[in-house]
Amino acid sequence: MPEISPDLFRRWYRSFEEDTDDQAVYRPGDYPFPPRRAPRPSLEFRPGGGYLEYTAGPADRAAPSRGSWEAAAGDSVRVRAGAGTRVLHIVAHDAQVLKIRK
Amino acid sequence: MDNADIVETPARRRCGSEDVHRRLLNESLNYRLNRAAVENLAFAFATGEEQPTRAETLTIPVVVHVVWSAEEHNLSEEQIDSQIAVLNEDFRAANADVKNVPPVWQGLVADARIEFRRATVDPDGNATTGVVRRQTSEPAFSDNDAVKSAARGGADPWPTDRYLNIWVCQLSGGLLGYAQFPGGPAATDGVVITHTGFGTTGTAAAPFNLGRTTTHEIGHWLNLFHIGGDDGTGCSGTDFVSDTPNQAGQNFGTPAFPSVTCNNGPNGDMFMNYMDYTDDSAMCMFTHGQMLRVEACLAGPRRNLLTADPTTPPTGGPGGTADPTTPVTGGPGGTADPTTPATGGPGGTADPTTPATSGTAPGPSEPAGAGT
Repeated sequence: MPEISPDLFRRWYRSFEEDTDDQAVYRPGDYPFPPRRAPRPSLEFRPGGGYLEYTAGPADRAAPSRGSWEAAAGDSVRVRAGAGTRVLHIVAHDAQVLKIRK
Repeated sequence: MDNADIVETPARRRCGSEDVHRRLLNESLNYRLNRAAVENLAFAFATGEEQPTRAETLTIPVVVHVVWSAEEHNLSEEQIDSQIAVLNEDFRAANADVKNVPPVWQGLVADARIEFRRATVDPDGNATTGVVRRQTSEPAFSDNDAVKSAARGGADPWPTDRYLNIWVCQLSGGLLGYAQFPGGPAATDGVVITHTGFGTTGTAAAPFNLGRTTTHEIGHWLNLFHIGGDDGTGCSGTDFVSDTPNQAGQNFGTPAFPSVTCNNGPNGDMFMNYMDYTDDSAMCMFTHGQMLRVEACLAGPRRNLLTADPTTPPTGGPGGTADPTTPVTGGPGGTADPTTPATGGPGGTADPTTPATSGTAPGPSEPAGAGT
């Protein structure tokens, strides 16, 4: 299985405030986000192909959907979670930020 | 193990993981059964088939677990007391800002007749301040319940059928707090609040510095859902409460009245309800319909709180106040008694050898049946 950068192996939280018209921005959990009652959507790449997508749950914690990832062409990653499969076009990333094309 | 692992199905069978897998499946099934029973009882109260019978105000003993890695997160006694004071206003409809409820809904404002006080007796029968302070190497906790476990850098709960456990820590991801509905695992029962959203002084920071995050999370702990339902911004979700208007998603900030969604004019959303997502200064009420759900919760899974005397030590060890005539998991939505063998010690999880439905399925004489 083609690999992806180890930088990606963590849980990334949506940083809406930093989004641009064509990019969705994610940050690690220790980023100083403005507090919210609703959990931020997040996604998590795990070594070996595991993938989780988290959405807001009814008791204010995130509810995970378990799936998998695989490297795709270029800087893309094909992810499966819940009932769907989609391709994330990674525009930029390092240990502190992940930017995905909208 | 994080909460995501609860729903994991192993990719392939391995003898070493089989017992764990079965235990997780049983826990999940137990939870579904417990939740169904809780909701059936709530339905019975909502329809009038069951009536609240509680005569006296309930005082719930609280233990606050302060889990800190940075000295400034080791909250002051004053900050803790400020939070308890807010709870005792909000759950008695004694908060000064209840006057901000629009006139059309003033008649719906409900006194929950629940009060909170720091526990004075610990699970071993010793005097306590009701505060546990635990220094940790973890700079922050996510919503994966690690803060509720000493082995994972947090603090273990006190018996969750006798105390409300509140963990205060630095939460990651910008999250203000999270809760667990009744009927879930005893080992993780309680609410978690980030320290900047706790109380009204110290590290509490605007716009979440009026203590309402804890009010909201305890609402979940007492089986209240978000007022807008939990279907995103759709109009079909419900909080299963008849006197709260149907509304789309949760509201944020400090909306102006009326805020109309889902054709709910002229009055619009009840964004000033504690179970919305508005800023602390914008939320100020529970309704009578919500209190019926709370009464059902107190008659069902959290009924031990009504009988446990917070001023005396438990008999038979931590959590030893459960009615011995009840099934292991407490009948309708019951939380497991942590002292029973089936739950494996304080805050224990389900015994993997216990059949999934043992003691959990509501019997024909249980409210679950009566409510349908």
